[in-house]
Amino acid sequence: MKRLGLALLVLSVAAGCGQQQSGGAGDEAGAPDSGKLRIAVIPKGLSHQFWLTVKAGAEAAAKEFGAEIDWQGPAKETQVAKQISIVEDMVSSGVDAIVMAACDENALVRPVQKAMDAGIPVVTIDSGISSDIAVSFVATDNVEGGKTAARELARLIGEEGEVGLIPFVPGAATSEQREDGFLEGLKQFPNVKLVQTSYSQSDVAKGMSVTEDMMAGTPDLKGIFAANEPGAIGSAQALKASGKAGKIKLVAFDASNEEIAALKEGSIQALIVQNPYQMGYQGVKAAVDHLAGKPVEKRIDTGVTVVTMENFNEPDIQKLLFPGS
Amino acid sequence: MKKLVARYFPLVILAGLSVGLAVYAPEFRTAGNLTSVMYRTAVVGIIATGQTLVILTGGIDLSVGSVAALCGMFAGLLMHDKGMPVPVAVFGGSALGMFCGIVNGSLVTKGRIPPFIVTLGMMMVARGATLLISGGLTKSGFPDSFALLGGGEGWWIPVGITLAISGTVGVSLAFTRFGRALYAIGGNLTSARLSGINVDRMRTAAYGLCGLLAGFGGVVLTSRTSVATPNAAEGMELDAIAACVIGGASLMGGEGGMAGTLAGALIMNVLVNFCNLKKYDVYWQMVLVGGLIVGLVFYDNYRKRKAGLLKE
Repeated sequence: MKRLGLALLVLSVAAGCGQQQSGGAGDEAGAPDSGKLRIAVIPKGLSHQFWLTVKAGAEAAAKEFGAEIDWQGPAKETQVAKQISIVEDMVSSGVDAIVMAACDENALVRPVQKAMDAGIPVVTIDSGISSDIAVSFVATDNVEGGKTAARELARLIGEEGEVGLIPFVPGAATSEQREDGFLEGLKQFPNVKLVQTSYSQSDVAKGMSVTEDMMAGTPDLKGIFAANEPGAIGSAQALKASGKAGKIKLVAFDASNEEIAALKEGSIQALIVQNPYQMGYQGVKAAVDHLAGKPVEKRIDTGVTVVTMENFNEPDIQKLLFPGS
Repeated sequence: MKKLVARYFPLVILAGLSVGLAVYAPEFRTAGNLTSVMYRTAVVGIIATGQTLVILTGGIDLSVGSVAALCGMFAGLLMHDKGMPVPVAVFGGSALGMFCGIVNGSLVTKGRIPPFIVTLGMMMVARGATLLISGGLTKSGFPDSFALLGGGEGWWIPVGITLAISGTVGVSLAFTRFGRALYAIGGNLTSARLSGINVDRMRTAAYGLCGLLAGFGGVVLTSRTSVATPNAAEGMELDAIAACVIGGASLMGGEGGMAGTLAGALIMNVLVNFCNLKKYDVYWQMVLVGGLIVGLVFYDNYRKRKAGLLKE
């Protein structure tokens, strides 16, 4: 009896999983239409604010260039297999072009190749693939982002003093690009000295403890650049707890709700904000241009925006930080 | 005397290390740095205390990191989404941890599944559940009074809580039937059963308490960082296990104690803190700390054997 119950449990769990996996994807594809270009836009996930902003940008471009958007994506960024089947469904439904952010840089190479072989150009946005077969890659140039952070931090500390760097994971591409950009950017400021690089491992608690160690090891620390969200939240928290908020300048990448709150209360002085709206817009524009036979840059940088309390209330910045409202 | 030193070797090492570093590195001995190291050890100290109970029985709990994340997130959601008062959230988070622990214990004792597998499964289930209830998002914006627990009003609160928990558990280990039963089970499970100990119940209780402390540790972590993140406490199960072993616990069971475990947790954090203060390259840090941990345990065992404290 017990065993039967267990078996039933396993079965029902399996069935539950199955249900979640199926459905969705190109079900409502098809219906070729009035000669408007049909462009599939495939994000890595559906729920995050980031992707909703990408969608808004894609729709704006579609409206401007007379195209139609087919918005389909996996529910979560980890559902690689689901994303692959969505790409395949889009290919068989005969869209004119695909604009997508890859859930996995390797796993999506083959589906992209298949689409290109079928004569459907693919533009990657935000997260590219490990091969350069796509028409274009539209994303933040993280090296440039790192340089911008270095310039901003130097400005905040009066171009003089010792600073620390908190990248996230050693070996992760984005982390190293931002780190390289930051080092490159600091070269313009001979009086700013990077004294320490400590990784947050994308963990808020580690972000706190490495910041505390930096403060203890370098009593004269003037500023910190935290290269992603968890490290920034942890660093801001540590500065606040030790009463150094505002005295040690903190520049942070991205703009989560927690980071924006820290900016407002003064434990973060500047946010380096990516531009998902431009990723959607430029991605669709690149696809349309390519279909029209116009040349398209292989790599399009959507840029970063520096947000401080001085420009916080400007309408453009508000739109960038709170695209939903 | 020799025996005493050998038994409390982890404490001796910690004291020696601290004095040595304080002399060598003036930054280390500042009050701010010492308190910072102590209070960052609070969370792993609480979790390692529970882990010690399980390791004493000859088991292992790989799920404590994920359970801590789950309970920290659960407590955060209770306050943030449901508007529950702080004590309810703290209690709810801890209770959920205890539930996870009892599930682990029951599967190990009644289901006869090896602890490694049961708790490996729970590690994944709890991490998945954390992602599910949070939708993969970071949660923040808790009542101000919640920050108290993690040191918002001073480092001594989390440190005091950790010492209180560790002390209570340590005294129970030494002076209660439950404590002696755990040592007996770890020493020899069959003879413990034959001598009339309700082995299954004691082992389940050990896992339950381990889960409870993991859950509470997770709540303290959320309080300390002021945000609940779905990837919190990743890898903390290994830190907790390492703290126990550096503190003199045997993974075979039957050996270990609370003072040692706390010393073990502190030794690891002191080493990392020192490397950061001296600005050692982070790649070298990992090599150095890993090597030192193995070296310490080797030397500890060597001394114990010479002092005749190890069985074999």
